[in-house]
Amino acid sequence: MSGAPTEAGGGAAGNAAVDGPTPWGERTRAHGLLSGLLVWATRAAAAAFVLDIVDRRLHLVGVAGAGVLLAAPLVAMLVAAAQYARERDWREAGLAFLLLVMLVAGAWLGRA
Amino acid sequence: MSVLGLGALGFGAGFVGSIVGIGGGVFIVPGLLILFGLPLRQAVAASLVGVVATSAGSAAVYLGEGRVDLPLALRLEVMAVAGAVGGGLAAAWIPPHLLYLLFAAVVLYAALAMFRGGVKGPSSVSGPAEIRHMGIGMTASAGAGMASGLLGIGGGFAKVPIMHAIMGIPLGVAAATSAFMVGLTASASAWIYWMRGDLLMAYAAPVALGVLAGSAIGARVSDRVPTLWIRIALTGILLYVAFEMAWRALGGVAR
Repeated sequence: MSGAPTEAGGGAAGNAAVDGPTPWGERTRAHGLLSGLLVWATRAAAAAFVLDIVDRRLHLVGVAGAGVLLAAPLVAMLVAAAQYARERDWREAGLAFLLLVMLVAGAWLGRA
Repeated sequence: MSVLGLGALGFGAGFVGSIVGIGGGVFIVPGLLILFGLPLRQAVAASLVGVVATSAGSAAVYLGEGRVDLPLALRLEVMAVAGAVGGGLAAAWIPPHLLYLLFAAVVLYAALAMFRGGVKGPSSVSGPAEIRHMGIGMTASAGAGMASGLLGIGGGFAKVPIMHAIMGIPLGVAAATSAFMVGLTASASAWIYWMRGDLLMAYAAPVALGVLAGSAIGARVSDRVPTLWIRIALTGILLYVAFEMAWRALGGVAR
């Protein structure tokens, strides 16, 4: 991974590191956290969709499932930002936080 | 509207998508338009939920295997999400016939990519330790994000070849990173459609469930099915879809 925190130099520090050595296929703590998050979000959404389809009175459960599914990328960016900040990988943390802000801003603009 | 029919559409899109290595959006949107008569914006919104579901399911596995290049994904996604937000907002005022025309062009490209072999290949995660042409990658990501927001597709069939052939990323890493990225991109525009009232859960839930089941089963049997015939059949379907979209763009169907 180009930005693995285990890499010498503290991960992908901008384009310099992206253009530099990139040991592919390295699993970091951020990978594990995001993987677990997406697994549970997918399961929760699937269960909610099933309930919604089986019984239309549970429509709000289906809506909540869609909310969980679509919110998973936002939460993923929050988790990534926090994890990278914990590892003092400020550039990656900043990018993840910027993406979170962009996702929230997009939803807000859609409402406006 | 039939829940089973919608589920079957999602299942088929997820199944063949995972076999040939493209997302389900290019099948779901036309399916909802042609088979279920849904207006374009509602079809795009339901498809985006399906794309997020597919991405979450596959990205969870790829992340667990460490095949996703997270720093690269974060960089490319800044542009892709910007494009997706722009596309999602612009979809509200772009005339439908222009969107149909754009969809026809994108599907034609997908048909060409399918005919040439799809985007699946050896899942190599090794290669030259260098990423080239970040500028091209970021520009392509912005374009793919815009297409996702406008048309409800993931855009993996465009992203993966660019990441692999132009940026020099091993195919296995490019496919895994793209799978993670399309979920972020699609969710950016899906929220916009939802907030605008275009997301109909009665359509989105069965489609997303079908996509989840289809892509999970497709991934398990992909090594055992004759992909050549599937590719030929899908090329034909995509060519028909391109024709149908172009026909609608020219006023063949006023919807």
